[in-house]
Amino acid sequence: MNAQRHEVPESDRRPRNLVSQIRRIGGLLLIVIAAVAIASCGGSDDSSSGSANGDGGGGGNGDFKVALMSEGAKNDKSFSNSVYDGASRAAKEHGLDMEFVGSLVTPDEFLRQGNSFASSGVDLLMFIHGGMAVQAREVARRFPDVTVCVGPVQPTPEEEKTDPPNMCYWDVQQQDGSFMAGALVAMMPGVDHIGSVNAFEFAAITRQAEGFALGARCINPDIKFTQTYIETWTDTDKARAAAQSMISAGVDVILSATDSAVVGIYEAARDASKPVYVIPSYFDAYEQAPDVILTTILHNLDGAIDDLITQAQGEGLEDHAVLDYDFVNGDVGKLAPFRDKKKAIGAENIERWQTEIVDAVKSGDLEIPGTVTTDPQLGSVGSGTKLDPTEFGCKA
Amino acid sequence: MSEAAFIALVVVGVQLMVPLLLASLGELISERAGVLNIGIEGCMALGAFFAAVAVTSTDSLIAGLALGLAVGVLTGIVLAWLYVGLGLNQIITGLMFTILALGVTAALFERYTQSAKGTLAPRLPIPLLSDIPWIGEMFFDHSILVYGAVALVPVCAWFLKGTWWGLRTTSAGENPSALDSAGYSVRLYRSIAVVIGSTLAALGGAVLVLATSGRFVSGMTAGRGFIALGVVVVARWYPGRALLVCLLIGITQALQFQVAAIDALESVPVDVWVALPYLAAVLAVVIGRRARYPSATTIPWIGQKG
Repeated sequence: MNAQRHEVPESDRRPRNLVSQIRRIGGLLLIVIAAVAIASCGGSDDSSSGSANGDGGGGGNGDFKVALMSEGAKNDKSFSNSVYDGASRAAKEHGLDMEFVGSLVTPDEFLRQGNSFASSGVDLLMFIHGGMAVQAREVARRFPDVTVCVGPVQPTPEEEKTDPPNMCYWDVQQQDGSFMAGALVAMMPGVDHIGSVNAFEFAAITRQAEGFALGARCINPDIKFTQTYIETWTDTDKARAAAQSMISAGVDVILSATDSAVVGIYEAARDASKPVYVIPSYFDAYEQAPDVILTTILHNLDGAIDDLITQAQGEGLEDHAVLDYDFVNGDVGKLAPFRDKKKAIGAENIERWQTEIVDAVKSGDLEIPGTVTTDPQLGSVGSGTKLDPTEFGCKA
Repeated sequence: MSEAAFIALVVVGVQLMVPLLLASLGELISERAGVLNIGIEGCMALGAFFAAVAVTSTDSLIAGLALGLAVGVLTGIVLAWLYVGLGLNQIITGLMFTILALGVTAALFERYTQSAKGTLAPRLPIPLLSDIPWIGEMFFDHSILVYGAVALVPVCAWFLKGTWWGLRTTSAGENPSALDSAGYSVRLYRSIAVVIGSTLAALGGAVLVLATSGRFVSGMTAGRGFIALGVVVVARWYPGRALLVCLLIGITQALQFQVAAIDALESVPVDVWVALPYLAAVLAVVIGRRARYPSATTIPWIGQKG
């Protein structure tokens, strides 16, 4: 700051008495303590409100304790909401102690909270953020008696070699759902341009957008695809702006590969001069925007989390466990009911989609590529428009 | 770039500008009075949260705006007490207040948020003006919140330059001793400026909800309050310039989303577009490095007459 400092003349100053000094210091202390207290609760969101002894975890027999840490709130109607639902269900079914901390932002917050949970005696600690493998590994090394799982992400070959045995990974093949959603919208009358508003450029997000493009090209190889990375999970204004730009370019259906910022996309679709539909992910959000939501891609996170916790508290997870869920083995990518959008999609298209896509994926006739099996792999930007859909069983 | 893409670029830019503009105007008034209100990001978050609570509970846009404004006033009173009354370090206090506000709104969001969506401000095309080719669609076919924010620019300029109260507010930031000598309370003028500034910032947060989503999302202010601190410096504490800077930042941000419509730019990595607004902000601050803060900024007043 290039300021010319104003010095109060000495004559204008009056000596501060003790009471005023105490007030000044006390006021600052108060606000610092309050801020630190809130920040240490996980950067913002409440912690432990998801405790089994709290509002929805379950009975809590104290034999097995599980703790989850996520980047979103437990009621965000999106990713974290779905995770919380699965953990709550498992806790209730098996009488576990469960704690959920949401809205952690930085790696440091994940690490601090993880260490805190591990030292408090949890049996299973889950980092619900694919980008936090380093932090998960550090906690796993420090607390060898705690099973530490991170996901959705796959370990690299190097990680598999160097990870401590109590480290585990879980993943949901998110491209399965977006591929099938892409195929569905490509069958819809009048849809020749689709888009995807994505949060950050990393495999777990990129594969959703690229899977959407590839699925659409499975039906219509000439369909136009536009995507934008908005670098935020929560900025609704940015999401809206991105969607508006797509709509002005002629996009008919927008996939949301972000998180709670999706509400901005709903508003952009509502504001459009032609019918524009949105496909959110993770949590059936129909009630939030029934006029523009076509369907929701349910990655069955709740099912995956429930299954993982159930396995861990039952027989226990084997060393270096990797739990991989996809459409065939875990219903990952099921679409929510189409409800009043059946007419817009067309009954015959739904039937065709069911047989040509869904049944074909189930039977193995159509193999949706993963993030490591193709070149370019589906986790890289642009792969959805470069890969040849016929190589995976598409007829188009 | 096609005509439609260019119009969309400006329309989106104008929409992205509005919350930032309101926060910038609030910060500008506060700094003119000698108080560096780092806490405006927190004010925005609180304004957004409570506007969302009101609008989702009552489905009334006016209720959303009213509660957002009321929270801004209350927040301003608290901050004025901390900054001016107790004379606390403005930078530390502002930062701590922001952390507190972001944490509180996130925690309240988890506990009390409603899934229902409230009313959004409808678009209000201005008759005749909105029919002008290109210009009409870009600038005269927005919601009343956009017009209201832009209308506040001349109001702020008039307040600061054309009213005795505004001149005394500026004096509280430039030469508080003179104001004090003239028999006016420096603390009063500074406090009122902080309250006005915080209220405008909270209004910016409310607009974020009422124009974009109709509901609160934790973290939705996304650092706009901090960007506003830079806007004020670049604008040299003039409301009109703040409008232009905010519009420029808004359009730069919007450019990120229009890249796909510009063939020549399609191959530029997405990271470049994401970083562009921030690079532009840093560049603008460097260009405006000779900007001189009001002389008494951040210096608490401890003169004799209050």
